[in-house]
Amino acid sequence: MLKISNLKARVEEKDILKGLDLDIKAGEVHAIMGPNGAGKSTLGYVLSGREGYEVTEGSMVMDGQDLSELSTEDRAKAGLFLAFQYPVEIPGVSNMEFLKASVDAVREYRGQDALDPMSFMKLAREKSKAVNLDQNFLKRGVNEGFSGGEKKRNELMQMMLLEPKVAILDETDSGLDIDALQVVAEGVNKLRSPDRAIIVVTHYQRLLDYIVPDYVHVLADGKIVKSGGKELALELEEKGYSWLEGEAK
Amino acid sequence: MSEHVSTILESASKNTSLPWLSAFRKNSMTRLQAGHWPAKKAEHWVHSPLSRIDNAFGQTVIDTDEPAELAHIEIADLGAIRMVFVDGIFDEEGSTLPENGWVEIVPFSQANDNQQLVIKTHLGQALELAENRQNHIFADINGALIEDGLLVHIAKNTLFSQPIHVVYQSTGNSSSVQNQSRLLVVLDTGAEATVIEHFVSAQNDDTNTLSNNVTELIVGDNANLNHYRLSIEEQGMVHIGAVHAYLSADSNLNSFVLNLGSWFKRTDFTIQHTASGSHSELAGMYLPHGEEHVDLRTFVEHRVPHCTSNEVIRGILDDQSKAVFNGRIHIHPQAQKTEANLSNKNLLLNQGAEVYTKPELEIYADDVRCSHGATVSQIQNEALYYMQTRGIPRKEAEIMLSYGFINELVANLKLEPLQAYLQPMLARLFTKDSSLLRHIG
Repeated sequence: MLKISNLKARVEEKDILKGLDLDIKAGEVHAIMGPNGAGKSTLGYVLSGREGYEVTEGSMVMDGQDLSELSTEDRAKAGLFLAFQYPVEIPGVSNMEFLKASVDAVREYRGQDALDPMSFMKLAREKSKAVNLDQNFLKRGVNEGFSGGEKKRNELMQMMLLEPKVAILDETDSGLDIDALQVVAEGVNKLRSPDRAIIVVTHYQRLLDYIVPDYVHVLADGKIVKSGGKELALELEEKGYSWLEGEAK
Repeated sequence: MSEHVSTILESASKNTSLPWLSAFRKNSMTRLQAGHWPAKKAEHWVHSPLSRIDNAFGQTVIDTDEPAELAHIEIADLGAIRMVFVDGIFDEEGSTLPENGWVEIVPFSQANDNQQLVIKTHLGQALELAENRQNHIFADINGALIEDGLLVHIAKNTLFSQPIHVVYQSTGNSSSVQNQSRLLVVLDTGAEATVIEHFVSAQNDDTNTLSNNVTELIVGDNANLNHYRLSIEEQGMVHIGAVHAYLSADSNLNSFVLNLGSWFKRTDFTIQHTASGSHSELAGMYLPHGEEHVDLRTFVEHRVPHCTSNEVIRGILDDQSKAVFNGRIHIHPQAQKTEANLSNKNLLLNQGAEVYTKPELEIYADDVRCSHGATVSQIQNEALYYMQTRGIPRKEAEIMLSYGFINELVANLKLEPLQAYLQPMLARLFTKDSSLLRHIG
């Protein structure tokens, strides 16, 4: 579903990704862990085509499509979803307007009919209930006045509405208490599907008790330096990351 | 003395309309003689394109046989009393006069003795308290030249719910000395009313059409005034306007100002809190395009304790347009427990756009709560990117973000028909492509 080969990328003249390889099949959940500054968030930005992030070498192919040929919005329409670590607040645009514009764009791309306002309203209410967000938030600005946990749940709701092929969850657990964590994890687990690949980027092993990955990778110094099963996460929690620096060389 | 002032005084001396206002007119002329024509070094004209004013004033007489085609200006479902003035002259045919006697909505030219007394009592009342009174030269030009005006007088304890829609149309066929308009709103104790001022002009590329307006809002004890000022003139106009509000004890003023269009648009808005318990809300927006220049200067004065004021002003500038905002708050030493807030945010959509914003707080009382803020920003790249990662095309996202900047002010409008009238008009300012607007509002 997602094949990344020798991906090299830089931002502001600084090389962050230095030859990253990753092969994720549909139906799988992969965890990416690593020390801070390794490039975990950068991977998501590069995959989504964020301005300022330049691919210097390598390729990224999603479900047979070369992502580098598509604009950010087209990558999203094609099925790429990135759940941000710190979602931005947009006071002037309501959650409702934003979600509808997003869903309409993706549905149009897929050849589906646009939802009429009533149907969409119903769908939005249903999904906000599923993530425990009070419906009233739909009238407020995007992420306006939201706590960290509420923002993460809004990200999850968007993922539910857009039904992506590849979802990258960037530090979805950071800053959450155990209750919020469980709500988010439950939501993500419900979205597992044979047609979908999920990448969970995390700094803490704890999340992986709830979203059990098929594979765990360690991203250090711009590359995947080690891959393994879910036990690798436990090993990392015990030993930290420094023991890998030897292995990377 | 400037040559324009001499021309004006000459016209004023020949003005025989409203003889019962001759004393007021003479006073205006005296002030005018001592006044200063806009000059570069004057702080209250700083950043103004003075040539645009001078050129507009240079147009003295228009010679045309063609009567201008007047658009019918109406806000659907408003059910308002409509009073129309064309180039400063009352248009009886185009107006709908009120049916009952609880309110007096009458042009100066048709005022009876009692109404003349009301006018004479209150005309200039708010204006006279304005700080640096000598700077308000255009108010004196207006005072010297007016041939007509409108009085809206709501009697004691009358809660008049029907909106009063005052339409000022400029045809472009009048000279600079002619197009003067004046509105005097007087709310007696406990009265309530809704007044909408609406400035429009004929489609005109001629950048020499000038209109000069002075509006005074006298809000009595415990009275409530909802005031809207829509300045939606075409690109060719030079509009100089002022609103001076006088707030009595426990009164409320809720004002909304929209400035679109115009080659040069200058609005002075002063609010005098003269007695305790009064509250003012001023929401405003300016959206210049092309090479338009819009200038908004507000002044809120807290002379007494226990008054509150809140000002929220938003600007969106496109192309090479310019905006100037000066928001001044003056709190007197005895004005304890004042609460005054001012926020001005500006969005620049283009490299060539420029805004000068200056909030000013002068506080002499020590037990007050004040805040002020001014920002200038461009569309946040982070917000744009976020929307794109959700599949929203860049162009559509830009428009949603731009419109979003003023959406809050429009969404808060209490008059639904007005909101329905303005929303599409404002949305179309950002794009003519309706497919990019379908998710807004």
